[in-house]
Amino acid sequence: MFWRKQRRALERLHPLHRQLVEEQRFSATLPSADWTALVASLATHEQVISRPKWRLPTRTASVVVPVLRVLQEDMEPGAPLGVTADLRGPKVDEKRGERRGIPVRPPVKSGQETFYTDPWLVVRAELRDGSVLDVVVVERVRERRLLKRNPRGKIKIKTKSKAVRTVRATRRLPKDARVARPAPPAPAWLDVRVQRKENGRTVLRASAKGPATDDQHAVDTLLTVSGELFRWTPPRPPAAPPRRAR
Amino acid sequence: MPPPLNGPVPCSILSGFFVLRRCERPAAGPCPSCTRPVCPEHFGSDGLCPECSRNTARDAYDRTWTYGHRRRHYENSSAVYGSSTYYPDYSSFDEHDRDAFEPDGGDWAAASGDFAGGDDWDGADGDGGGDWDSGDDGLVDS
Repeated sequence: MFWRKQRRALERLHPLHRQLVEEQRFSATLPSADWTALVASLATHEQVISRPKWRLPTRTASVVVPVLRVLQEDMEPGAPLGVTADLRGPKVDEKRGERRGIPVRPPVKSGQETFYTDPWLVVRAELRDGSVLDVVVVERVRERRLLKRNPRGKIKIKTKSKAVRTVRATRRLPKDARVARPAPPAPAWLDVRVQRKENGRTVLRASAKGPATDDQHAVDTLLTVSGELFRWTPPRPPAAPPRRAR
Repeated sequence: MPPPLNGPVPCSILSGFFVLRRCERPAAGPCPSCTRPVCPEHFGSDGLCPECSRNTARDAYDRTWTYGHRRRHYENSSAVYGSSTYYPDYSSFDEHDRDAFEPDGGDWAAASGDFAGGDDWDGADGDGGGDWDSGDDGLVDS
């Protein structure tokens, strides 16, 4: 079985779709409207591709596409939208960070912990209100590996992983944009910072850290963290109605 | 096929997720379900406006998914902030919702009695109707 028909079908897909299937990651900056073609191509994946090896990463449908849809809504069709998605998972060599030994006592012979840092979604969008929104989702995984030996000399390796997800959003406002502290304050788990630049621009930052649970929770957190930045800019007052001639 | 609109009317769909804005493209016709004027861009494949077809959108591949998810997100956020007015640019009632309380579809100028165009709601005598005159659509979102 050589999957010739499947390969031909794969070659007809959107280039970024193909890259996502083959490498589980992509990075591109396109006009906002051009991302619709990628979403349309991804929507056909289940009908066109059946080879298990070319399955789409689960976060494509559950996180990447919803985020694209939401940002497209707030952008002019020609405004640039940059997305870097790396859906290979955290346990990849290039994402491996510090590795260190941990103190142990018998029957554990040795133990070490390794940290992985996985910035799996990075987005930059120029919104139609003139502000620029950057969102980064990072997963940090701690993997502990213990080597145990029982009295009969049998060796067992035990591993345990714990993941923490951080969502950071930055909104750079247009010059001299009005900023006001919103009335119900942000919840304690949501850290917000306001920075006024010398050039008259204001930069709003929000971040939240929590356990890396399911993908739906990732989307909800991403939208809540990003949405917090929009509470700081009051809406423009509605245009005054034309006065009736007497 | 919905009946045509009388004269040029702008599309009344509220677009955007965080930055909300009226679409205001020329409407092609009213939504068969809610009768709001809708432009060709916002008519879904089922012939309804995004607000009416949002319940049928199952996943984000559907173009109208954003409208349903926006509403769910803002509703769920009220629990996060402990308030229903946490976003200054969005309130839990939009113009479409408030129109449901208007017996004549929300047109203040066309209403009779106390809301007729001659009344001075701002208390200024001879002001030609104040802020509620016929040139004003009366309702401001958020």
